[in-house]
Amino acid sequence: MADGRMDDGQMSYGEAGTLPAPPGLAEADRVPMDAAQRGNGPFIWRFLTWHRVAHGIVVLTFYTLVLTGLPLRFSCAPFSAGLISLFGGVQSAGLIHRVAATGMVALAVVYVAYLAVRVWKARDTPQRWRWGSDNVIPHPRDAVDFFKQWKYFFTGRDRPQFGRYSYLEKLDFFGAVWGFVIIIASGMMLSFPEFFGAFLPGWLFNVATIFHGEEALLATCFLFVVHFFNVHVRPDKWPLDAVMFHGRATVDYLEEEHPEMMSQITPNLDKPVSRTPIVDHPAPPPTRSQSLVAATFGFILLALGFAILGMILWAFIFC
Amino acid sequence: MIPPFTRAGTRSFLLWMVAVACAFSGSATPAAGQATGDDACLTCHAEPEFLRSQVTTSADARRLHVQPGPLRSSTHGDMTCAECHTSFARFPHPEAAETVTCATSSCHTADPHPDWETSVHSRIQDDDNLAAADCASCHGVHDVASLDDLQVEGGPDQQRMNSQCVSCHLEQAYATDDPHADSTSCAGCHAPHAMQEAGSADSRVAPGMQVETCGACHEAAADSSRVDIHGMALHEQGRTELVSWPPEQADSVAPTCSDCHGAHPMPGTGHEDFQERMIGQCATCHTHAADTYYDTYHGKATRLGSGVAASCAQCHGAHGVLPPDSTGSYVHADNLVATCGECHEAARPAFVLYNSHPDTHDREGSPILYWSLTFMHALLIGTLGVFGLHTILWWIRIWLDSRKAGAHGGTHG
Repeated sequence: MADGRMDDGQMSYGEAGTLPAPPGLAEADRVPMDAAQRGNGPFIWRFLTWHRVAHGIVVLTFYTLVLTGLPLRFSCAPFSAGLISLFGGVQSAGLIHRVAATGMVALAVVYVAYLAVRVWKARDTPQRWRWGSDNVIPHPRDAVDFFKQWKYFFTGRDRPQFGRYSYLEKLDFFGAVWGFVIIIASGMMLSFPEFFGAFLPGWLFNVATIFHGEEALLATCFLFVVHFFNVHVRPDKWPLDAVMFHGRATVDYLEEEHPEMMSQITPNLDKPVSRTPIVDHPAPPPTRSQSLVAATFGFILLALGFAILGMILWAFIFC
Repeated sequence: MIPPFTRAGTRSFLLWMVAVACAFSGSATPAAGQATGDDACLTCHAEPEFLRSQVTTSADARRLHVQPGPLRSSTHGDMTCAECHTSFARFPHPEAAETVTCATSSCHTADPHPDWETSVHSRIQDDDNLAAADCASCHGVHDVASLDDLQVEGGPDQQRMNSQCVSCHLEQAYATDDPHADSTSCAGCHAPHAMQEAGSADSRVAPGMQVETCGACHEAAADSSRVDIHGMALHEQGRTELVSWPPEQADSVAPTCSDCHGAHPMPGTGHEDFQERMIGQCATCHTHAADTYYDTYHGKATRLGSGVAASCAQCHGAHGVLPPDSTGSYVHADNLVATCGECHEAARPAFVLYNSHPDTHDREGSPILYWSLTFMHALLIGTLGVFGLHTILWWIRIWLDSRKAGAHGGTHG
């Protein structure tokens, strides 16, 4: 194979993006580092380029905002002065924070417009965006899945059969929606106190300070504990799931993670492989360079996330 | 030039010269004429090599050595040796140095000398025979500066005298960036002839005296300090307990200039640590105000070195601090729009409802903040609690499953 892959789309040992081989393990048993590339193919498109770009913008702006905001939230922590000086001091870190925030707000605006267009285009097929197991809108079935999952934790049986988005992914999404609303509203107030102070009472800035800081802390802890575990470092997916980076995953992966959806899209497996992302259609395996970029960014972001989590714990000890 | 005689020969030659000089002058008195008498003295005392041959140590020789140049250009340059050295009858004459008194019937009897008798340097000298300062320790011996020269702020004579003080008071040396280093001598604050020990109520730098002493130069600061809450407490209560304000530190005493500004060292207002130091000084008494300040953007940014965000004095004033219920206070409700407006140009009456010292733990005093924080904490703890447990249980379940699968010899996925 020109790109060093086997026919089932799984990367072979020795290629970039594979786990280092434990001694004595047969080559056939070696698994790719990226959970989305494990198991039997073919690959299926899961996320459009737009989803991945949006996720990427959230990641970049979020990390920038956390790193520039954390020293202020924990100004008493021993690392804060050093961290803020990495960004050139308080004024400069504040500017970087606002630039990243502008990127995040711009994404939110574009995303709302995108959703409006999607809803408008699907106005004749409301099942695409109303309740159902096939979209991200919360559904009573999510509550059922949630309790089934706890039952599974204790009994080891009857694992819930997730659709396109599990309740955890919906939580990630709507957690972000809630976070965006709180963070952007309070952040705008704190960025432009003179403007908002013209018609809002001053004590709302105190409230905004509380909401901004605590919501940021919640988002950071949630993402670097719950999201990271569910998506990346869960022992059966460890160490990385790059499906959101390159947009595709193997059939085995989808059957494991989203069995109900996979059972519905099985007919698509006969369709031709599309180089342009079409959701649920067969995809070519990620190229070696795509895998490498995804793994590099993934590991940097994971390491940085855990480092930030460590700093938060450190700050709690000192403050 | 001294002829190339042997050392012994030199000595006898010079002694002969002195004898001749004395014979000409009759006796070493001022009446005999300044030039003649002094030349006689300098015949020996301007010759270091000769002096060294007369004494056992070179330090003694240096002490006896007189440089005519500095002597003549000193403020005593017109005086003869004998006007100070009143007693010398024979060679050698150690009493000539020991009997020098500056406060003779004709010199230095008036101001500032009356204070000297009760000053700490004088008393130490009399009581303990310590190596305390006398006139010459500070003023020099043969190079005494004039009063006019000594009053040139930061001038060479002040610098020289400062170095005399520091030769004993090592810890009190000026830092190079001390704002007073080039403008005020030690004596400028410490009243040299009335110096009292640290802690004495009579000292010019005692807490009750500082507003006057510092105020001699810093008039505006002193004027406002006299009528601010710290100054009034200091002067009306005599630096006793400030029980009315601040409420959180009833045992604190009213601060004076040096409590905030320090003395040795005293970072200037332009010093990079000045703001941080001042907040620290306020915080020693106003602990609760400092804690709540650091919960605000002002406090957090300042702690990280903003230098722009407001700190204590920007809102409360520095030398005009008054309790917020006083109409003259910068933080009185009627004055807040103007005070906040110093930075926030568009400050309006609603804007200044901002709480610069929010106590999020005070349910009665600030219920909105208390419940806002409680809500966010509940959300934080609830979310992370439920999904943290979710994470841990999942982890355990996968571990149990993999153990079971391992026992059955199968693998998953």
